[in-house]
Amino acid sequence: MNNALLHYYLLRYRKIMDKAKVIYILKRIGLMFMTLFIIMTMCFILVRLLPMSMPEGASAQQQETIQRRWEALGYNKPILVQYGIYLKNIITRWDFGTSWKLKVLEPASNLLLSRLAPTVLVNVYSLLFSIPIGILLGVYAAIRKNKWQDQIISILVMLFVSIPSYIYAFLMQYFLYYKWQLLPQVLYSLEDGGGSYFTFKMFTSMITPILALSFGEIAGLTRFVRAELTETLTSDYMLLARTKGLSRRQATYRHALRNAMVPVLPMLIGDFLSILGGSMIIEQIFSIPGVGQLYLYSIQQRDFDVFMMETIFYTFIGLAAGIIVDISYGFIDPRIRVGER
Amino acid sequence: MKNSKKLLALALVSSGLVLSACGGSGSTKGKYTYRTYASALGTKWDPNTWETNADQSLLSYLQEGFVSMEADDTSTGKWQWTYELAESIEDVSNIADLVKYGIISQELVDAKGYTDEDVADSGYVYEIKLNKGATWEEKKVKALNGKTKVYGGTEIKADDYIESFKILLDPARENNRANLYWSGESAVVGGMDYYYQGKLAQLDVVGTFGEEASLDNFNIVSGKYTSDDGFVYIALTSPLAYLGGQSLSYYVDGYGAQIFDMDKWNALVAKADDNGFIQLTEETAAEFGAFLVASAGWGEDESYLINYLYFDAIFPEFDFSKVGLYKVDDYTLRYVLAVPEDKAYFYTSCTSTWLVHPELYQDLSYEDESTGLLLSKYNTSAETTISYGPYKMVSYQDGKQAKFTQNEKWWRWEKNDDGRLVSKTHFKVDGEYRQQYQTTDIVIDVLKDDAAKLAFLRGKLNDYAPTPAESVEYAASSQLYKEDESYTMSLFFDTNLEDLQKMDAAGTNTNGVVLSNAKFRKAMSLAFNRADWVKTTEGYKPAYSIMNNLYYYDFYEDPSSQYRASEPAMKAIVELYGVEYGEGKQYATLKEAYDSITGYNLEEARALFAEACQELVDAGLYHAGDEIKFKVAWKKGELETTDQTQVEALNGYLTEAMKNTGFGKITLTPVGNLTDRYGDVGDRGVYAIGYGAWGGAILYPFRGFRVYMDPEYQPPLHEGNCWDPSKETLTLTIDGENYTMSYQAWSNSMIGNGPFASASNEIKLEITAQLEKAFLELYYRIPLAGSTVTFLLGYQQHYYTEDYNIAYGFGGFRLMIYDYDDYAWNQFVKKNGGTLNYK
Amino acid sequence: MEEKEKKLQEIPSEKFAFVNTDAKLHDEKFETKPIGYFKDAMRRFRKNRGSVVAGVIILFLVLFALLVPLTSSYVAKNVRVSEYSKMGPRTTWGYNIGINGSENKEYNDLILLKNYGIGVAAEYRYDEATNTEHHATFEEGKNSAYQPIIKQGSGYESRMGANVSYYYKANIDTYLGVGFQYYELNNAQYTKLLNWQNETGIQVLYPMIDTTHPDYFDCGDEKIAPNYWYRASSDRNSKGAPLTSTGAVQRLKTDNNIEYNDIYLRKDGKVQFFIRVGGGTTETASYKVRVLYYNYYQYLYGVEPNYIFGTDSQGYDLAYRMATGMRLSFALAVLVSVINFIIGAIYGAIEGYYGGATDLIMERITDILVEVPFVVVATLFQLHFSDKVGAFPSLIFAFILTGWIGTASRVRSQFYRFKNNEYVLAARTLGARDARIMWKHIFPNTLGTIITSSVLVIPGVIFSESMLSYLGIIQLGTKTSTSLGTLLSEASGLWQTYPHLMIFPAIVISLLMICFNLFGNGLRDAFNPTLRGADE
Repeated sequence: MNNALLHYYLLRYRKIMDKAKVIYILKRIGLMFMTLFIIMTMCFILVRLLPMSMPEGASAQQQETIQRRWEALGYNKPILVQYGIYLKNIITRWDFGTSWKLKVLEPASNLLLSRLAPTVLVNVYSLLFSIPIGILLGVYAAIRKNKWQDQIISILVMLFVSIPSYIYAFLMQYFLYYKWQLLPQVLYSLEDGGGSYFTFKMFTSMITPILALSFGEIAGLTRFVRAELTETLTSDYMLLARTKGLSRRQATYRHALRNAMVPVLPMLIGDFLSILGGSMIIEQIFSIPGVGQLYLYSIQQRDFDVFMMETIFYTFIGLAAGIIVDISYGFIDPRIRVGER
Repeated sequence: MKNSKKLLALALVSSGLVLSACGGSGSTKGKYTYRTYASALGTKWDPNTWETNADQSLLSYLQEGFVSMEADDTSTGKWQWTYELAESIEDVSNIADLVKYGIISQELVDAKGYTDEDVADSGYVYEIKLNKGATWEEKKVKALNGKTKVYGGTEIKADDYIESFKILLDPARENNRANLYWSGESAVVGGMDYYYQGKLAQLDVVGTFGEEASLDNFNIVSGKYTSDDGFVYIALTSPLAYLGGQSLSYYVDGYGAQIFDMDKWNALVAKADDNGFIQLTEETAAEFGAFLVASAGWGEDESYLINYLYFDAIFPEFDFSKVGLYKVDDYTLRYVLAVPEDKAYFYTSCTSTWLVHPELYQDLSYEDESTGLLLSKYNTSAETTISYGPYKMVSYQDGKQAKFTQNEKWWRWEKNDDGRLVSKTHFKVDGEYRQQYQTTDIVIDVLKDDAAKLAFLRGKLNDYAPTPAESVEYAASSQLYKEDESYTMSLFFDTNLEDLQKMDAAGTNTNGVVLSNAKFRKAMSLAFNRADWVKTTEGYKPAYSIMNNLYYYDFYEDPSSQYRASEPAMKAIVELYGVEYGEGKQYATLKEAYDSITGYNLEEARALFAEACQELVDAGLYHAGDEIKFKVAWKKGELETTDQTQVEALNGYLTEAMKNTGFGKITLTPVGNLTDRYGDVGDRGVYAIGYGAWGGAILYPFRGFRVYMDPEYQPPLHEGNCWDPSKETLTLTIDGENYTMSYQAWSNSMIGNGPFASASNEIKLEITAQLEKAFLELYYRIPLAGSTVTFLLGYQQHYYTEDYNIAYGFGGFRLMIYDYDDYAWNQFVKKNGGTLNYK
Repeated sequence: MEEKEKKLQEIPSEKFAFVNTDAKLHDEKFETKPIGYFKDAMRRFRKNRGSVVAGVIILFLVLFALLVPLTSSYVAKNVRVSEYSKMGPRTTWGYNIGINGSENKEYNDLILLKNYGIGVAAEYRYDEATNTEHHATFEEGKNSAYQPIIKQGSGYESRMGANVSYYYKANIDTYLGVGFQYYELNNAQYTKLLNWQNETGIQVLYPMIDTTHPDYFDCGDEKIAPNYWYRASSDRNSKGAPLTSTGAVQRLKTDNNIEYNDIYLRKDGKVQFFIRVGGGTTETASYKVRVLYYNYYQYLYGVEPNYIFGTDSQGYDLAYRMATGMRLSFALAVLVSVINFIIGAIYGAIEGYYGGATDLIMERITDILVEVPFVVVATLFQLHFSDKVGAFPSLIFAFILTGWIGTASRVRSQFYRFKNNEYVLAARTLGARDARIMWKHIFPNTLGTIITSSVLVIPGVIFSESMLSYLGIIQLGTKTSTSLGTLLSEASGLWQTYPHLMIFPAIVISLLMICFNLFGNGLRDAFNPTLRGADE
């Protein structure tokens, strides 16, 4: 990169990061924490209002002992007092509480971190698999608009967007594991999978869930790219490019595709960040001990601290994704003045 | 059934990537792995704090009991107690121990001149001789203080048990499993005081201070009498030392207006809280004094107030030496019971022990800030688990998988010639010492049902519990096993008129008051077509009595002593349903009459509904033809479609039986997500009808009715709002003599120090059968159905015996015999094309 | 170049003529009517074949959902037949072309033997007058109309574990496979059945079984027990295999002529057709009878079993349940999208029109709500309200809490685009109040996009409802109605054994989703004015 180009980028970078933008970003981050706090409070109140449940068939004395533990944990104090204690623990000791049901006496933060790896890995692999295919199919469909290839791809897209994921997850598990006996049925445990989530053996057990997750992703991406590309193909500057003598192929790649990518990139960033949600259903069918399942079980088992930990984690990721996507607009397409009144 | 392997044309999966997906590592020759599954994995298998069945199933591989129930002669169903960690357990009740632990006072012994013979075999003191040689698993564990140390590998001695007991009852830990040992049948003497030391409770003034008890022990602060730890109360319903352990309310209920001034008494009761205490102040003291004076027959005045008082007190310090468990020598323990117990029942509580590794337990304990309790991470992960059973935990991943392998330190493993660990039973089964624990490894995976089915058919799981709907498909399979459950699902009521009126007003029910009529409830029971109802849910069986045929009253001596098949039990049910038998009648013999009973009789139901309607209309409680609606407290979890179908069917039967009997349309609606439906109906009166089940204790039918009639045993009673069994009395003729006691007394009459505790089995049968009839006749509870559990066992192994026995099942996991080791099994599955046919 | 110019001048002047010297030139009247915005959209919509087809299919599905429950035969109405639960499609008209409730699978020969037994027992006749019994032979049984096995293929022997089993490919009519059932009837019901049997001549009542007989096989399941009417082995490896009179076990493989020896209940030689049960006095006791269920079904409902899609897991007609399921799913989806539409429109309008401070605050509210995780909210609302308010309303409430935000933001951006236009300023100067400007002038422009988005909400709602039912968070199945999601989640545990329970609801839910998506796309293109004239 000779220094002229370098100079150009520096100039471009400085222009983008001028004062108005910095203030805007700081304002957004401030708003983010406020939103996070409000959602935290709402979820805390909603979950603590849920009636507690005794283990089935506990004798009178057992119930009394469990009742005392709940008192000690402050469950029958007024909700706001409980919330005060909860916040005090976070602020003073950075202690997000312990799990009493899902992994006994384990700090909620550790439990979440230990369950993060499988969810993220399966989702990242499925995105890495589905993004290239999605874009390729989208472009191919757009180029061959309304010809038979486009029709087939559109029908397939419609099919996989519409069918609930657990139906084709079952079918894939049935065929890949039971009928053709090619792949393991569910994710291996750490013990069986060679000690960590990164071994090849563990990867083989991830293939089926990855495929199950990818179909929906590919279909969505194809539809999005096709729509964007058809729009840019019919725009005026394409006409200009053709009149200036570019071949059809050159015009498409150099102009149409590049502009179509503008809205696609932020969407992908959003996807990457929302991965951490994980799909509850795929995790249940392929018994992946991931973050997705944890959410549902923490409510059903009334494991309050784990539930709150998840809520904070999800909401923070969601908000952060929102801000990054907005800022990324600015970088990719300078014309879009974000925050312009 | 060879299925051709279709190569997958997916771009990503290159056709060469064929992976033989078999779990488990290491060579599989000579290994016998038992792979099973669960919908949820246990989370803490600490003997002192486990809560769910999933927890207990993990613990079961890591421990042994003092004794165990095993098969003896499978052709006749005879079973035997076998000694495991214990060498022998004998009743050694003696004066010295009874006096030492305050069960009998020394003066009484001197006065009456008791000797050891008088108390021998009285079921107070049991001596447990430990089997020498039992050892702990040897394990390196990193304690909370960061230091890694080797624990276990040593012999299990008496001290281990004593230290474990201290940890179990340690008041700072509040272990929820401790209550098995400080309350209930096999409670140790002094256990409760040791467990509650330092905790707030109410104590009897005269009982504590004796003669010096007087009002000046307490000072008055702003009008209220206070003790150093709290307040003072007038005790209306608590047992009083002054009245020899009876409560004042016992006498007032007994004699009533002849002796006591009832309006003053009712005024006092109105002031009392729900355990009968009135805060002692000058006014309440005067009021109680006036009551004593006004009750002329009782012959007391206000100066007697001191005898009726309780006061707040922190439980005093209680040294462990006063708890009834001590070491005779390194291999002998003595266990002193608070309430005497016959040997067979004490054996049952010895099938599991309270043993933990004391040193490791302490090293993993820490003071928890949020609860202020002393908690321990013992047995909550693979690293913090130590075993003294045949297997040890190899790995545990929460929510995913648990793995066990042979615990080489288990004292009954022997090395055979090729170096593998094997073991023979130390007791004879069908005349021979059998191989036991042939399983070398155990794997428990978290799987959903349909995934488990696929794994089972691929030979990757050794057992599978088909959903009831699917079990029809495997009906002809030789690998299908069925076991009856002891639970009886039934409807239970709140028949209290005020409650019902309150519920009607609150809109929970419409015309719910009809439930207060006994005929209406009997008609409901007869209207339910149970044979048809069980068809809504596969695996259900009709039930029209409290205890099904799994209950045995003298199982130890006579394995065929089935309660349900006994003559008094059959007679009670036949009388309940009013079936005549004998010559010239519909049925010749009692057995025929009993077999004809199905609990369903449309004719009688309609007649009773008509009568009930008339009675309710005359009493002005119901207007003929009005609609009736009940919300039913149906389930703890989320309602499913089968729940809706079951309730729909009940609605159908009631509508059919109520045709032109004067009643309007009736609709029951199920309610789910209820955390405590038993309390909602039996205590708080939120719902008028509940649906639930009782079962268990199948070897002790004579204790079966405490659950329904003894408020102290299981507060609140499911039918708590229908009656007060401690007050209502029942007269039964036993051996020609009439006895009148409260229902509560009857339910305790055959155990502990009850009047019939030492009566013959015939008499006890007669009483139990009469109690069952009397309780069912009240129609506070209507039995509907029992259920069976079905599961499939893979071809890799088979059970020791094919016919089920309630004591040892099919011979259990211990005696299971493998037909293939893992290597041969994988070959067998491959030879069959990778999938097996169990139909 | 010059020749060309000359030629031009040489053109004679006569060739030129004035066009119209007399008529006045002015605009002609439009021959076509003016094309309004919606008309134009409609015209473009009709061109998009895919969307039109989707629209027709949706109409058909809506009609199916509304009409099937009304028009279906007596039996289909929410009548639960627990004996016929989980059975495949079967119709009288389609019986021979394969819609015969049959499953073509591999069966253990013991199951085939039980089914043949049903045929043999069904041909049993008893003549009261002469007290003579007619026992059918194996051949007669095989050709009986009530014999469930339609076709029996070749078999093979398989040695698994310690014993040998024989498996045959066979095609069994599961409805006939139910065979015999026990019932308890009071006097009136018993006499009514007896009269029906005598009038119609259809044999319903069959002899009772002597369950105390040593060779009685107790299978432990109330629904199957009445089919073991013959001497059978109780050995674990040959459960229920018929025994010869000498007690030898017969398996399908070895013997072609299977001997069925009945163990009917006889009292001093006379076969018994009922036993008195239910206790009470002789008058009030009921009759326990053993009936051939296929005929008993006709006695109860007057028709032979007709289930176009088979029956669901509880015994309701699957077609009827799917219709009510679709109705509920439609109602839920349409209700949610309409409410979201209204709230979104109002909220977006206010936000967009007034701008400034109000916009900032309202924007923050939507920011907060949009982050609330939907599944958590749905779970918490179900746990809190489903008991007091009912599962359906609390589900709608969960959808609505965050559903309207999409519409609101679209409306807001449209308002920003149009609110500074000249015609709006003109309207304001003419004294129009804010409300009028908002709804009369600006809002119609947004209509196109938000109609499309609210149509696209419908498949989303149906999709989420089926997910929530599968996860067990909500349960909408009752006697009168159920939802597509509930049907699918019920089938999820059983689909390998009863595939039809999943196939039909899955087809319908996918069809619904596809059509609504296509229809939605069609609408979007139609309402997108920039596409005018761009169609190829």
